[in-house]
Amino acid sequence: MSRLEAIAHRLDDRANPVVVKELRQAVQNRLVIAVLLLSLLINVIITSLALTTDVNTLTNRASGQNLFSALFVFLVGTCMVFVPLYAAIRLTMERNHANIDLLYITTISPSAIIRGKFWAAVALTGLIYSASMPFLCFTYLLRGIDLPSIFIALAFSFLSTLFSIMTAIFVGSVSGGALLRILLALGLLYFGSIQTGLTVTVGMLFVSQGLAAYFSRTDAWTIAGMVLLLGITGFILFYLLAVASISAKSSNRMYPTRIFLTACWIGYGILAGVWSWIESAQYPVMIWFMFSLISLSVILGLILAERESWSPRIRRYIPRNTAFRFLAWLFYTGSAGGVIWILFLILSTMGFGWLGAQYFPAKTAYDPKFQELFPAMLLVTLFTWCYAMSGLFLRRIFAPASSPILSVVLGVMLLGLLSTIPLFIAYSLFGMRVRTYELPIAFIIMNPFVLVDWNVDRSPFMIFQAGWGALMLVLSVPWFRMQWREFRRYDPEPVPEPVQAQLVAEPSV
Amino acid sequence: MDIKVDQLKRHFDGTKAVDGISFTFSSGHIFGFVGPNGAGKTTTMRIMSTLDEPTSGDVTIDGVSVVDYPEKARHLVGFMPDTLPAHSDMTIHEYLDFFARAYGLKGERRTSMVEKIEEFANLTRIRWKFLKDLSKGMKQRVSLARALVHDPPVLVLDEPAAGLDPRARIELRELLKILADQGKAILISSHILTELSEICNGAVIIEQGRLLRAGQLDQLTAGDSTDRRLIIRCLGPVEALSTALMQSPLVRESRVIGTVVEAEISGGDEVSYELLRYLLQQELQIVEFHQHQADLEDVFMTVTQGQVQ
Repeated sequence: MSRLEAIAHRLDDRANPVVVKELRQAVQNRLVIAVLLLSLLINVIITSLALTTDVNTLTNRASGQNLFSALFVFLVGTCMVFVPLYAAIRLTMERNHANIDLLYITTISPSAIIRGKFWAAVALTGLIYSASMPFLCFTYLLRGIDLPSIFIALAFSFLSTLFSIMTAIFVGSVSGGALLRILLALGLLYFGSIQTGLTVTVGMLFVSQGLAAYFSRTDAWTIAGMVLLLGITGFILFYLLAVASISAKSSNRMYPTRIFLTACWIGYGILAGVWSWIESAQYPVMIWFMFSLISLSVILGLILAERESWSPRIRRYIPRNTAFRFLAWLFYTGSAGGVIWILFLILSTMGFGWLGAQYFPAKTAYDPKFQELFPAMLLVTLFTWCYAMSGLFLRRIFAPASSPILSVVLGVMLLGLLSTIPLFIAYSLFGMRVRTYELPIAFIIMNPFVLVDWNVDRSPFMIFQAGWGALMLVLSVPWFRMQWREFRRYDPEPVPEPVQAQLVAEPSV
Repeated sequence: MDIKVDQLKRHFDGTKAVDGISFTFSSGHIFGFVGPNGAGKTTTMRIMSTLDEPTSGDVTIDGVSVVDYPEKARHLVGFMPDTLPAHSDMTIHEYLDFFARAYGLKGERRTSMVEKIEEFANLTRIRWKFLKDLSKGMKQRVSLARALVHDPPVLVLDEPAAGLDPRARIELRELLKILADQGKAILISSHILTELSEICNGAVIIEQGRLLRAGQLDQLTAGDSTDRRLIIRCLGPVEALSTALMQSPLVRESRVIGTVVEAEISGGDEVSYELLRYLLQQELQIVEFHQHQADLEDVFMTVTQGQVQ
C-alpha cells in the first residue's frame, strides 16, 4: 500500500459514517445530479447571454458587476433553497421509527448524526459553489468589480447558507404530526426566503459599493460583528436542538441546550454591559433585558413539555452532594427543575436590567425608557407564567397520567379561551362601540392582547397577574417537591467479569 | 453467555405493556418468543436492544445490564426489527458498510467483516443492487446481515419471517440454525409456531405483558397434566374401534376423526399398554397406536386466552 493510499484509508476510517453514507446517496440521487448539471448550464447561458447581448461589454463600466449580480442571485437562490430543503427532506424521510431505531442501537451518537448530515450538505454546497466559481471569477475580467468584493460576497453567502442548512436540519429533525411539520416547513420557507433576500441584498451591496466604501463606515464592523455573533449563536442553538430532537427520549437531551442558553444569557449580558459602558448609553442593556425576557418567557412555556421522571440512565449521573444535585436538577432534562432554572434567569434579568438602568441612565434618543419597558416586560413574563402554570395545574388535576406536553396545550387553550370568551360577553353586554379600555376590568383582566392599547391601565393587571402567579406557584409546590424527591442518584451494579459460556439453557419460569 | 430477563416491567401511561416477566437463555440456543399481538414481545425486545428503558427490572447479557451500560450492551446485541431497510438510494454493500462504520469497525476489519457477512447471507452476488429493488425475502436477509455486521453474540429478531414465501422461510431457518451452531444466543419472535417448533430449543410465551410459560420445548410440550391423547387406527370399520374404546374403563373420552379414533386416557405408559392389550383382546386389527405429540401451537392455544391490552 502506497503512502498516499495509507493516508486515504486513515481518512476514510476517520470520516463520519453519516457523511460517507449521505455523499454516496447524493451521487446516486438524480435530483442532485440534475441540479448540478442545471447549475452549470444556467451559468453558461447567463454568461453567454451577457457577453453576446451587451454590445458595450468593453466600455460598460458595470458589465462585470451586472453579470456577477445575475450569477450571484442564481447561486444564492440554488444553495439557500435547494440544499437546505434537500437536507431537511432527507432527514424527515429518514426520521421514521425504523431508521432512527437502527441508528440508536449502533454506537454512533445523535450529535455525530447531525454533524454528518450538516457536513454532507456543506459538501453539496461546496460542489455547487465550485461549479459556479469560474463563472463568478470571470466577471473580474470585465469591468466594475474587484476580486476582494467577489470573495467577500461569496464568503458571506456561504456562511449564510451554512446557517440555513442547520436551520433546515433542525426542522427536519423535529418529530411530530403532519400539522406540526407543515407549520415548520412553512416557517422555514418564510424565514428562508427572507434570509435569501437579505443575503442577496448584502452581497450585491458589497459588490456595488466596493468593500472599502462599506467597511469605512464606522458602524459597519459593529454590524458585521453582531450579525456574525447572532448567526453563530443561532447556528449552535439549532444544532443543539436538532441533536436533542433525535436523541432517545430517555436521554438527558436538554442538558446541553440549557447550558448553552445560560452561557448565552451571561455572555450577551456582559457584552451589553460593556457596550453600554463604552458608549455611555442605556440601549444595549435594555435590548438585552427585553430579548432575554421574551426568550425566557417562550422557553418557560415550552419547558413544561419535558419529562417529569428520570430513567436510570440519567439518574446514574445525578451527583450525591445536595448542592450539586440541585444544580443538576436545574440543568438536566426535566420540567420542574427547568421551571426553577427559568425563574432564576427571569428574576436575575429583571435585577440586572434594573441595575443597568440605574448605572447607565438614558441619554440618547435610542435609549428606551426603563420605567416604561420594565412594566411591559414584567406583564409579558407574568402572563406566560400564569397560563403555563395553570395549564400544568389542570393537567395534574384532570389527567395526571397523560404526557407532559398536554400542560402546554392546556395553557395555550386557556389563554385563547380566557382572552376571547369574556371579551365576547362584554361586547354582547355593552355593545361593539365600547372601546377596550372602557370595558369593566373583570372582562379584560386575563387578556394579554388588550395591553397593546396603551390607554389600558396596567396597574390592575399587574396586581391580578401577580396574585394569580403566586397562587399557581403555591399550588405547584407539591409538583416541585415530588420531582425533587424523585431526582436522586441511582447506582448501578458493577459489571461482573465475563462468565464462561454455558452449553445448556436452564430457562426459569 | 447467559441472557437474563429479570422482573422486567414497562408501563406506558397506565398501560402495562410488560408486567414483570423473567426468563433466561444461553449461547447456542434459539428461543422462540411467542404471544398474541400486543402481548409485549416487541417492547421486551426493544428493551433488550437498549432502544427502550424498562419502568423497572433489567436485562443482563453476560452480566452487562442493558439499563446501566447500554453502550456496552449494544456491542453484544444484534437487533433485527420487524421493519425492513428503508433507504431507497443505497446498495446492499453501502448499507452494510455504513452500519459497520456506525459500529466503529475500521480499516481491513470492516472490509473483511462486511464481505464475510455478505457471503454468509448469500448477498455477495447482488451486493451492488439497490435496496429498493430487493424482494421482501432479500430485504430480510439484508436486515439479518445488518444485525450481524458487528458480530454480536446475542441476536434479537422481531418477526423475521413475516411475509416471507416458503423458500425464503426455509433459507432464513437454515441461516438461524448455522448461527446457533456458531454459538450465538438467539431470541426470535414469530407467529408461525410450527416453524418455531422446528428450529427452537425453547420458548417463552407471554400474554398481556405477563409470562405464561417459559422453558425448553420438550418441557413445555410435555405439559403438567397426566392426560394423554392416543391416536388409534384399525383395519375394518372405525365404528367397532370407537365402540370398544367407549366400553373401556381406561378411556375418558374418544372421538372419531376420519379413519382414526382419538382417545383420551388418564395415566402413563402402563395405561396405554393396558388399553392396547384390551383392544387386541377384542380382536381388533390395530395397525396404528401412538401418542399425539403436543407442539408449540397446542401449548400456545392452551395457555393463552387471546386477550390483548
